Amino acid sequence: MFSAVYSGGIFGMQAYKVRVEVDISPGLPNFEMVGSLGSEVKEAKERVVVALRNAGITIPVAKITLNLSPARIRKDGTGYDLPIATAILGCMHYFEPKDFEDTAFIGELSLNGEIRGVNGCLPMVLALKEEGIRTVCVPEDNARECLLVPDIKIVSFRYLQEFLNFLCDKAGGIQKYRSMGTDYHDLEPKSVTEDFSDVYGQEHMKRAVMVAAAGFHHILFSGPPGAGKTMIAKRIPGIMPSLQKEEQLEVLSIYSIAGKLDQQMFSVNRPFLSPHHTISPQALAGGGRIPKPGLLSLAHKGVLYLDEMPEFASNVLEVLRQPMEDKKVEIARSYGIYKYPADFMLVCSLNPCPCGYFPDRNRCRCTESEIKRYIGKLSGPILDRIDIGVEASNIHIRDLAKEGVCLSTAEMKSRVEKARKLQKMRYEKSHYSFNAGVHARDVEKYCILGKKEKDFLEKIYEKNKLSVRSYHKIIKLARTIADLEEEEEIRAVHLAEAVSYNNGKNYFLKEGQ
Amino acid sequence: MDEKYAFYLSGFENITNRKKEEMFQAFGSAMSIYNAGEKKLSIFLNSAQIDSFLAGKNAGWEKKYENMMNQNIRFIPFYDKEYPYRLRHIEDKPFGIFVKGRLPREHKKSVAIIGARDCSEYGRFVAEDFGSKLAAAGISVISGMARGVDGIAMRGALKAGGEAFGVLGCGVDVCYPGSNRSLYEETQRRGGIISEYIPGTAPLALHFPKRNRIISGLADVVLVVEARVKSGTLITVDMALEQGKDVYVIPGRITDSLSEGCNGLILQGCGVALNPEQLLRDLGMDPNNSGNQQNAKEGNYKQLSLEQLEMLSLLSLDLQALPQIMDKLKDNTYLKNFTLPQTMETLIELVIAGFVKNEGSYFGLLQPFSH
Repeated sequence: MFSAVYSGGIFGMQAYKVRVEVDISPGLPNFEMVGSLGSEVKEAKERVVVALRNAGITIPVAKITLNLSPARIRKDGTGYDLPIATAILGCMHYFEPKDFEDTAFIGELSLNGEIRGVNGCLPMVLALKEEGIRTVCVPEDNARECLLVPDIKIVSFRYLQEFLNFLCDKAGGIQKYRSMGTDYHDLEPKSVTEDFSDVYGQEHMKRAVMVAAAGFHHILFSGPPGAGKTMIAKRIPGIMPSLQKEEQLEVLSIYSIAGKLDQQMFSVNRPFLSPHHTISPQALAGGGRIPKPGLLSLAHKGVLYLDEMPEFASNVLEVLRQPMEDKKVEIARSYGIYKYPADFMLVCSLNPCPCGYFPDRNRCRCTESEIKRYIGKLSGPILDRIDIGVEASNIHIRDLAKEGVCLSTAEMKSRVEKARKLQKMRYEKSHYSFNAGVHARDVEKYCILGKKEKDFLEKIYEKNKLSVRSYHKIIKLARTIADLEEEEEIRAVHLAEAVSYNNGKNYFLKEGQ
Repeated sequence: MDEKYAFYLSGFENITNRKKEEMFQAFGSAMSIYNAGEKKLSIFLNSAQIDSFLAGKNAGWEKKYENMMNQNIRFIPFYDKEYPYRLRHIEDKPFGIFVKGRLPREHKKSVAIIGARDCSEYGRFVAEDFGSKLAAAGISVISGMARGVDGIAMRGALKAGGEAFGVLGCGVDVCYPGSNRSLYEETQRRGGIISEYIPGTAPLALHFPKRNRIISGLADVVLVVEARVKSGTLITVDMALEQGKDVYVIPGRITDSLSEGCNGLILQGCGVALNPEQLLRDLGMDPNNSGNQQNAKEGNYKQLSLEQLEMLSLLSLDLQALPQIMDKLKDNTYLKNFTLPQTMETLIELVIAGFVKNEGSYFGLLQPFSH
């Protein structure tokens, strides 16, 4: 007797439909599973048999053969328990197979018949929808994420008994359970308690941050301890535009695969990750036997904040290079390459010297070689990929006292959103989305300079001995600044500001004396 | 030929300069010291000194001497007529000195410019300004070739086409600190590297206070640019005062710890150097060259707009971060409504025009602004 049901599998970020086929035929009692299965999948047979028996169903003593198709793709994870159980029940005529032709099943079984949540449910549901599945049965733990997917029915269960009732209740049971699925709902912005209006003074940094957020430019803060670098970094996601529907699903999919989806994540707010400097390269980029997304991917579409950057091991920092260029992480294993998106905005901070007070020579006693050694830990290629460098200076007591004049998150966000809208219009017909991402060959096409501005930039090019890469960076940065000012043309004042930001970062590359 | 044996004798750091001189007077030549037996030596030296003195003879010192000659390093013992006149009567005068390049000319005035290693932008500017202007007026600039003030003053002197002399706390063939390599090379060509330690000697901490007496000894006037209260610079000043040299000091702000040493010296009655011209006059020289430069500089300011000039008036030699500059704008009648981007634009224009330097988000004047 043969039966087949559908389920979902996942490889990296790529989800696909899996057909679970079971055949029960007379012969020596045996349970054989095939289809390039990982160890967790092979263990499924023990869980399924016991869970079914504890639910009062005894599997016939016969030769059972099970295949997960397509057989060429490697399968990992525990989500196949429920579809395997369902397919076995199909062989035993518990339900009418044609009722479930457009239904898929995902879930892990425990021995006592509970249905447990699995990782990566959201991307699987998204993929199954594309494959023509209309209904997905998922564990209740995963219901919330799955409900975000539009135009697909989600039915969720906590116990196997509940699920069996759903499968077998022929008297309109299917209809009853199907209507249980709550319809797709949107995410709401989470109320943010951290506001830029808490940051007194530092208008210079706030402006730089606004520019960075508007054009998705990487930014570097330097300054003495206690000047508010971390405070400002934490508030950056607040001024970035809310995640669009597609972006939300992409971000949540990564979290779902990583098994890091919690209540906090269900909002349109962008992720903010601030790893400790002892982090390993694997934790940052992703890794493991079955590679999981690392922090670079968890910060996708959001902010990755590296506080005290020189304290990070250099091999950890070097990991950033490829993702910052390609906007994705690739992890190779013998059975395939796992690709996770990693399009983050890098925000990093550092002290200008080991004690933190340079160039205030009244407080800083670091020698030049100490400073060089400290700053030298940052690699040139990473600094080269950063567009903006700003200095956090100590706040004057006067600024602490004044009220009502500093920019708030709401104000900054609305300006950033306007700038992003302008970029969206500009790059409508191209694959770009932000000024920062524009390739050098297209800079002249999208960032047009007048005669006067060109002369201005030429002088700076010679004076500061810029590289061609920095030259283009400055133009792109000036484009973002002009967008922020809602101006059509890039003017010299925008270029000057861009140059100032670019210099802010070059400070650290400078040779002493 | 006798020099060779004097060279051998100078290699012993465990024998004081005074002792070496006494021995030379008693034996009559370095060669007879070299050939003296244990008994004769024991009049002057203790047994440990004698042991190392005799043992050294078989340690390939002649090879070292040859190497030195091949490297164009000259050894000048104290009895040589080339031995600097200025060093002849100082306390604990070196038994001999090693020179790569040449010695300061006796008839030329010489000024030692010394100061802190981790100097401020102010110190940087002053050191270069004095170094170059004094050298341009024909003065030999002498210093310790250390990081900070020393090196900057020497560079300034060489840049102005003048002469600079570096006195080291290691062998003259050792470039210390390594970051001053280009200065080390240039100084050899245009002035000289001087040391009392035989070539190959490592830069040990205990050598530095000792070499300071040579710096002050070679100079007619010692100029202190920036010094903390406890610093090697003040040791040099003490030596200079003992040697009866004039000490001039660059005054600083009383709140800067880097100027505390200098201001303290003023309190003790040292001379105050307000500008190179004044110092040149005090040295009895005619400072007329630099006056023309002043006029030329003023001419340049004519090309600037009112806003740019006002901006310059707010800046100082010390580097200031943008927020600090923004703070100052608020109190300026012309610039109080300047936005951050406008400020950046004006500053960058001034950088291009060559009036302002830009280090990261910090801006500072390249030269004092007077208009």
